[in-house]
Amino acid sequence: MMSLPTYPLNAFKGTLLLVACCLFVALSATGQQPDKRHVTPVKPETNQVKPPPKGTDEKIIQQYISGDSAAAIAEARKDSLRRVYKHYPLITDLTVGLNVADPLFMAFGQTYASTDVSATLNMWNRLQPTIELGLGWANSSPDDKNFTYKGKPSPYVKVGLNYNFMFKSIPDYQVLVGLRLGYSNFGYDVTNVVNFNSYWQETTSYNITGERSHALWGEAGVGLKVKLWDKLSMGWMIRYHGIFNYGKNRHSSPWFIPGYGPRKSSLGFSLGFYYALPIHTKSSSKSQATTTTANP
Amino acid sequence: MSRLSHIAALHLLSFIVLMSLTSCNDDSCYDNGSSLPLAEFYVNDASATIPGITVMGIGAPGDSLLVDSSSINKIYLPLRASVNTTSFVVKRWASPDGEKKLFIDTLTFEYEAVEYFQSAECGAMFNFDVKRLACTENAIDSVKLLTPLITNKSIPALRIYFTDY
Repeated sequence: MMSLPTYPLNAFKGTLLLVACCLFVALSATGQQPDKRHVTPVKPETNQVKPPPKGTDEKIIQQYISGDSAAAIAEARKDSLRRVYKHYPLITDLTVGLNVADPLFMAFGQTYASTDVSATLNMWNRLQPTIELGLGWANSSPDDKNFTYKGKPSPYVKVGLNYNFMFKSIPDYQVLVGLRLGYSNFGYDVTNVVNFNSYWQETTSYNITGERSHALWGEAGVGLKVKLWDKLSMGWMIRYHGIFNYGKNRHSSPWFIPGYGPRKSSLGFSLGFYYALPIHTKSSSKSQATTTTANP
Repeated sequence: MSRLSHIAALHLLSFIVLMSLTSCNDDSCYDNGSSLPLAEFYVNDASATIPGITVMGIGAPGDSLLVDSSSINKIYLPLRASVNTTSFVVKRWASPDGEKKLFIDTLTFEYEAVEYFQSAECGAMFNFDVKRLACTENAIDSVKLLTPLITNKSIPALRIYFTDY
């Protein structure tokens, strides 16, 4: 008959007893707070008032001296932010520009163009009211269509506003969103129209001339401006646009709208060169930044 | 990455987005390439398919038929742009009293053809400003003009009410 292995059981009991004792001692120790005093020695070099950093605002210094350290710290933080993020003057510069996107695209076969000059006021390097004055024209005879569309050179105007998301940075680089309201009054001809009626076997041809129309539209765009050299910069903007109102005629609806492009298009594109004329005014902000860089 | 690299990357990304968006532009014409009046067939105020219908334009070259002895519920009727009146013959085989008979009607449009440039996609065409619509009343009970200006939109321009045989 085999005997039971009693040794491991005894060892387990012993371990349990040992753990219980340790737990008891630990609990007893935490229950007693020794009356030991902590001593933190003060080094002589830290026990003194340091002078404020050079350039610290006098107001902050006075706050420290008067004992209002919380206000002083808050003011010091604001002061440091002002040093990092420059405050630009009310009017940083005036930028004049020339939009060359469509003339460029015409070189690659586009049959219409709108080109304009613009003037943009850069306010606080953030808001940029702008006006664009231009001319648009078209001359299209699609191969597979039965007409020639001639949009007479006609003026257009756009007014709007850009917002520069990089207003905390230097004006050399700008990421913009913009809104525009555009209007044009224009004329056009549709000529060389040929219609063939296959059932009646009749061919008719005609011209529609002297048509006039107008259009009012809106644009919302995003774009970039980057400094090229000195005060010269280059920028582009993709513009989503829609027509609020346009004039229909008895004999036609306009295909091309100066400044807008094809009437049924929903996207426009501008690519321009810009020259910044520095105009500095006193800012209303507390701190002034020196903006000698050109605004693209 | 430096600021210039960021800007360059942003330029590139935006151009890719621009190209993607512009490539989605569609220059298709979703309407008809010309203005054709669409006639719907009705019997007792309900749309109906009429069997054994033949339609032709009066004076069409070679007596060309638009439809020949077919069962249809609508038909496009091309108008002539060079004149102000176009007439069509509508023939219908029916058996009102058990005996098969041929009923012949004439449908006449009086209109003004208006030269019209629709769009770059659809081109230039003639719209028709209908002044008068008339018909004989054999197999046809009556006609109703739904819109006086016929354009290239694919919408019904008139209803032809047939007698219920």
